Amino acid sequence: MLECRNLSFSYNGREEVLKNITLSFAPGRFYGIFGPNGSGKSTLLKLLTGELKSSSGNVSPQWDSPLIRARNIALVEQQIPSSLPLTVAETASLGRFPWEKKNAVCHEKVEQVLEELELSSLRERPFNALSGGEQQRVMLARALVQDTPVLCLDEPGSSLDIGFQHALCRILKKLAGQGKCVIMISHDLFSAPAYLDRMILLAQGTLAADDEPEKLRNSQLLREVFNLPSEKI
Amino acid sequence: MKYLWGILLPAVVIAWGTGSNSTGFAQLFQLLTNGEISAADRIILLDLRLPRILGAVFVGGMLSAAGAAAQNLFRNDLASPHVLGCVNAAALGAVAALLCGANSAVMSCCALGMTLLSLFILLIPGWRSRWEGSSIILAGVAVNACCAALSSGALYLADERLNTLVFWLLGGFWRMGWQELALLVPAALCGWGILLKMAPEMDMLLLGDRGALMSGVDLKKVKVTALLVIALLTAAAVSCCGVIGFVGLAVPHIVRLTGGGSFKRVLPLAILSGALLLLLADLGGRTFLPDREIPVGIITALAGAPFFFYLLLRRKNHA
Repeated sequence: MLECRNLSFSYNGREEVLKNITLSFAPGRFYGIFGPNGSGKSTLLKLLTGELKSSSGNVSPQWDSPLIRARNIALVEQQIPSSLPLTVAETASLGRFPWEKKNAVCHEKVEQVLEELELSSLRERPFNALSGGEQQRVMLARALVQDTPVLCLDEPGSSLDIGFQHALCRILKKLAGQGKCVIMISHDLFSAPAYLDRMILLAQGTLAADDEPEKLRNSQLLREVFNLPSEKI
Repeated sequence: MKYLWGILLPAVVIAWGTGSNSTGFAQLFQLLTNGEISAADRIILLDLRLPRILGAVFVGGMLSAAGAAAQNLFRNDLASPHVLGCVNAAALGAVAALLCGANSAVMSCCALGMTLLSLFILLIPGWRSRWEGSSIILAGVAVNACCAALSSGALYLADERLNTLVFWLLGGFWRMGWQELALLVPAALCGWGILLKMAPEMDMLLLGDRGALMSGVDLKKVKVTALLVIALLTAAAVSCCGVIGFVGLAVPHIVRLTGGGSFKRVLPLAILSGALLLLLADLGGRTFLPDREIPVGIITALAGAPFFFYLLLRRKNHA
């Protein structure tokens, strides 16, 4: 279980970008974090992953070293590396890094993940020669090869078309079904909520809602937070 | 890699048997088969040509390895020991020692000392920016400019030693002897060994700082260690043979464009390619003109730059 209690954070010591956030993330569940630009989504994710230290409140568990953290939590970034002179299989294998000395069966893990994400046919292709959607799938494969109980994604669908976004959500839902805790930051209020177990809404650094997607996706609160007209989303 | 060994080893033999004087393959054959050989030929083959050839091989490998490490470390195609200021810092240390009439060992120590000092200067913005690559590179550009200016100042003060200094700064292996090799070889083996051991971390750095950190890489340890190794390789190489540009920048690119990939594969290929390039450049430099030697730095740039340009055009066409 990953959780944070009364979490607050400020970059400059004066203005808090997150205020008093309390949340818990259970294994086997798929969480989506939503909110307008500047609402504190990415900061919250960095605090949960331990990249940032909170001004007050706490996150648990805490990990002693980057290596121990990497065995527990994996991250798929919004930014795809601009140039990666590796093949698809080599890129996915980078996820073996935290386990290299401990787990001899990692090679099988790479093959299994490539198969699951339908990347086996591209395994020898240079990463740089892939489309944006394929590259994002390879970065997801790398994170899955890391084989952690928690998987975090920071706006992974931003470079994907609508079809890929649905496919990605299906994969993430399946992973949650296999026992992973999946936490995704997203701006996709159209397709993502249908796959989520829990929807977390941030507004101006505060927790506006933590509820089931069915209750939130067409709510007045959502419209207010995103400053939307009253038509259905 | 087999092909590179297949070219490098015969190239070493050819370079050993070739020179501007009459000592050639016949004498080399006599030497290798314990046949009769004059004392002069023995000195030329064993004390002049062989250390020079080995020096070119090791320096080529060292500069290429340092360049490959710098490019992975900063995820920047233009990163090289030159851009980081290591080359000019080492050159400044060596020039200062040369002006004071120091011997090879003192010169190498001064080169290493100046490189470590420049590295320390690089580490200050690195530490302040949480080891962000662009801050370190910009600091390197500043260190590079400063060291180049001071080296030029030293040339201005050089008087009758100007010719020696200019020729040395253009790069060459004419000073290379067994004493220089005794410094070069341990530094090369140590640097290559550490980089090879760090190969998984060097690949992880390609994911970006955040990606590498979240994948379990201890960024501070890896970046500081890699910078130290780059400094060691560069300082040892520059103190023995002067400033040889282009190799550290271009050879890793050439390797990657012709089928490199992970650092574990790129590093040995870069070492072998750099060794071959400098060996051939030195051979050309000392045999092309009958009565004088062309500095290696000029040959590497003249021969390598068009080939590098061709590879870049080929990459663009593929894209």
